[in-house]
Amino acid sequence: MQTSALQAFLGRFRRHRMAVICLYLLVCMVAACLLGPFLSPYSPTTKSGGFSAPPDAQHILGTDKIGRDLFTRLLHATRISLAVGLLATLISTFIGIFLGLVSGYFGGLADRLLMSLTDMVMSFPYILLILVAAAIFEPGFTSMVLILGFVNWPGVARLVRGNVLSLRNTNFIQNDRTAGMKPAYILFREILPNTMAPVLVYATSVFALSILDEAALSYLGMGVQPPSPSLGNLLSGAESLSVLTGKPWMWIPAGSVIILLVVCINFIGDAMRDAMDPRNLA
Amino acid sequence: MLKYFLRKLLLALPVLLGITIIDFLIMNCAGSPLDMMTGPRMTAATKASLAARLGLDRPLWQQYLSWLHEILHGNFGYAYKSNQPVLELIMSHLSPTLLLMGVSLIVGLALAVPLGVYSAVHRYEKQDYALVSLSFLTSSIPGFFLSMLLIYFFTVRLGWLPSGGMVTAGTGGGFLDRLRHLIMPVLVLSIPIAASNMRYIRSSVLEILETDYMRTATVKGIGHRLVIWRHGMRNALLPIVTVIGMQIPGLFGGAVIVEKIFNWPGLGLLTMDAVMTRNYPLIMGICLLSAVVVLLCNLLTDLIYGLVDPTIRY
Amino acid sequence: MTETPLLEVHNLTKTFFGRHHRKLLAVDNVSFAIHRGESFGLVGESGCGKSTVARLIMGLEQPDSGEIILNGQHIHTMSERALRPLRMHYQMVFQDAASSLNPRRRIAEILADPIRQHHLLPEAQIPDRVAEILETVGLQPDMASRYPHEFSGGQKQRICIARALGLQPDLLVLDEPVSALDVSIQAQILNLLRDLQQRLHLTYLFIGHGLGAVRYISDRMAVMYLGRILETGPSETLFTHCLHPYTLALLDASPSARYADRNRNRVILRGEIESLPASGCPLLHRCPAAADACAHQLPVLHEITPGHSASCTRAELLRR
Repeated sequence: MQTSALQAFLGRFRRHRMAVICLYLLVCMVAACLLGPFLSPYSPTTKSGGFSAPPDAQHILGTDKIGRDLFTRLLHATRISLAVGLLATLISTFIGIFLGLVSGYFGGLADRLLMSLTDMVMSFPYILLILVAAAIFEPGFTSMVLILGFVNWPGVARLVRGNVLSLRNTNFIQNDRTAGMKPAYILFREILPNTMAPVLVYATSVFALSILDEAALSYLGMGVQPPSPSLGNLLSGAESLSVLTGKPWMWIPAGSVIILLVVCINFIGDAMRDAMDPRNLA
Repeated sequence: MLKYFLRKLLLALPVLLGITIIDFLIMNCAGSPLDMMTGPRMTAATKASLAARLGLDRPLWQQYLSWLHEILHGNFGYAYKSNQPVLELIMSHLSPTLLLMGVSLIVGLALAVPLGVYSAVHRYEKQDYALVSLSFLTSSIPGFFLSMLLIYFFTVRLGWLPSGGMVTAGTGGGFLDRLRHLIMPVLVLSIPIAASNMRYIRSSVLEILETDYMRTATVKGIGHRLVIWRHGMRNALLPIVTVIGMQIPGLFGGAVIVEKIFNWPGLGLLTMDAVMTRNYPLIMGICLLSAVVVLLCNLLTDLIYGLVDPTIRY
Repeated sequence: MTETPLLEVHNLTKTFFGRHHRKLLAVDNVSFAIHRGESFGLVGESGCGKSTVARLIMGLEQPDSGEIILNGQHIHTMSERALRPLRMHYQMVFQDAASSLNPRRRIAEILADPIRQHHLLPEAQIPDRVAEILETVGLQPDMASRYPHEFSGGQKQRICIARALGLQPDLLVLDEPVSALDVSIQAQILNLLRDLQQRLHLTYLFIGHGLGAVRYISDRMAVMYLGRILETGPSETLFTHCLHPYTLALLDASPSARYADRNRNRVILRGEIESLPASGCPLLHRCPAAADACAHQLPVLHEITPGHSASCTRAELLRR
């Protein structure tokens, strides 16, 4: 990227105070959950205190119903949920970019087939797709990543295809063709770099969505399986009315972390979109 | 116009067919229906004869074709265990879900349109920032967590609303009773709809406000409010129609989780049960039905688009 | 003229289909030949199909019928893959230089990549070659490390010319290369093009709507209207002794028409450019010299004096 354009982007991004705050918050949260084991003396999967104990000096967020330290579990859960979201986003972005490039550049039958596949996946109630997939495959971290990754690509594919279609008619791509450049060169060296910026912005919303979906599925018991913690399955214990009313430390923190993560990612994505909009260049 | 829609309908058929093929393959990936039906004590011989009777010993494509044949005759198969016809099961659970989704959509849009326009008109002012931030915040709350919060406040703390079901058990369930049961599930579903559509409406109204014909209208001295409502809304709401059409599948997905939490006796609850008990014929039926609904929604979107926009001619 | 031409175009036809299956005959039975070292100009109003001719020759569009023969090879029948190695022999420069350069890549990369693709030079010699071609088009070699947006419009067009020259082509197709530039810059680029042609023995197909620029560059030229060639001949002859009423109107409409006799009544076309008449001459409704016969008979391009042809049934009568 040109240095001047990058600087202009950063300048416009900085004007969104909320986004900057969110960026710092997100960095802090990521750092905390990466350094988790060093921050907390307890193990996330073994008993270290009384059953369902409220927060005190030893266990700052209390313990769960089998006596595991909830703060430690929360750190590990955040790490796992972030990992699921990130990996799923990577998978769907790669699939989307590849299919979008192929479909947009080559057109014709390949384009029509790929776009009807995209429509199919897009128009399917995708929680249903995830539920069915989760019912068939053994639930867990890997299948979670794969399911979410293979569900979220259509948006990216459409975005990339649209960009390719408009770039294909620009003079510099026509110039490449008349210079006898190979399709691979045109696709990956010329078109792809010019379509990365909007894809990156879109990926942030896929990231946020993946975190939400992971939480929902794990909450329903179809995602990451205990004993390994995730933000969703930490909350699944709170379904009972006694936990809901009498033990807020068992469900408020995990829910708040989900909201905080997703809000931060959304605000950052929105500020990026705004900062990249050519209409805001002035 | 009619010709256009017939063509669209014809184009939707292959998509539907594709979805059924995918469904069928997924079901077969999950294992043979025989394993679900038979106990461990069944001998290999009985198993084989049962397979022959049900046509499960034939190649996959033949099985698919006969399944398709049955579907075309209105036979969606029988659910495991209860042995009820799938279609009957689905139909009996359909209306609560439609009620929930319909009310949520209306409530969500009733919130989104005025807020979106207000935010656009007050662009870059405090109210705008507050509304946009609020919409980001509310669309970042997972539905199940919002449900928990609502139950905590309205049921546990205040005791105002029931925490689940569609009617109070043991009573016939009058209109008010149903309404009380409806409030929380509808809130959970409509808040994200309101939040995301508010932002769409805001940006689409902003775009309209920038156009020359809106400036002309203002310059002509037509009052600001009138300009926005009379001249702007029609064009601003047009793109929203498509967005709403695309949200219907998501709405159904949300309904699955909400129905599970609030024990709402609709299609979502049925789906969850089917998934939990691996009731494949039921899952297949629901997938097929939702595909049909979604495709119909897409068609309807096109239709509304054509009615609202005079420049579109088919 | 016994040697075979470098580029021959025979009966080239291309139809586009617009909305509601409306046909647009962009190029209609166009033929011409360009000899090695020659500069051939193609003029006409916007939308007359001259750019489509260029795009057909470059293989960016497929012709409906007709032949394009470059150096004895029928390039219009070749597959994209088979054509790729041949493409270095004929290069194109577009009107809009700004969009002809990838904004995210440095000039050095933009210029080096085609050379690399065709394996024209070993890797080590490429930077020197880039510097050399930059100098050839009148730019500083140290500009190679910059990005396209750091250059002015004229400089960008020079870079586009440099990119084309990097492949050492025989033929350069110049599609209105100066139309988007300021008048003072136009002259610089035209001078550069003329200079390059002599130094590098290039052959040009120069497309433009400004008569002055085309006359300055071209040895021979053709006038197009609604997809057809109406008149073709040596540039000077066309300017001094034009045969077709349309050419005459074009000349008279040109503001810097030093050649036009100021005292004579100007020939002015009626109406706007429109679609083809149902029958007869394409210029039928606009031609000041139209006669009854023109409504029935489609004129064909025929030679009137050696090397000078026109497609007007009344060309001999109008000759002056």
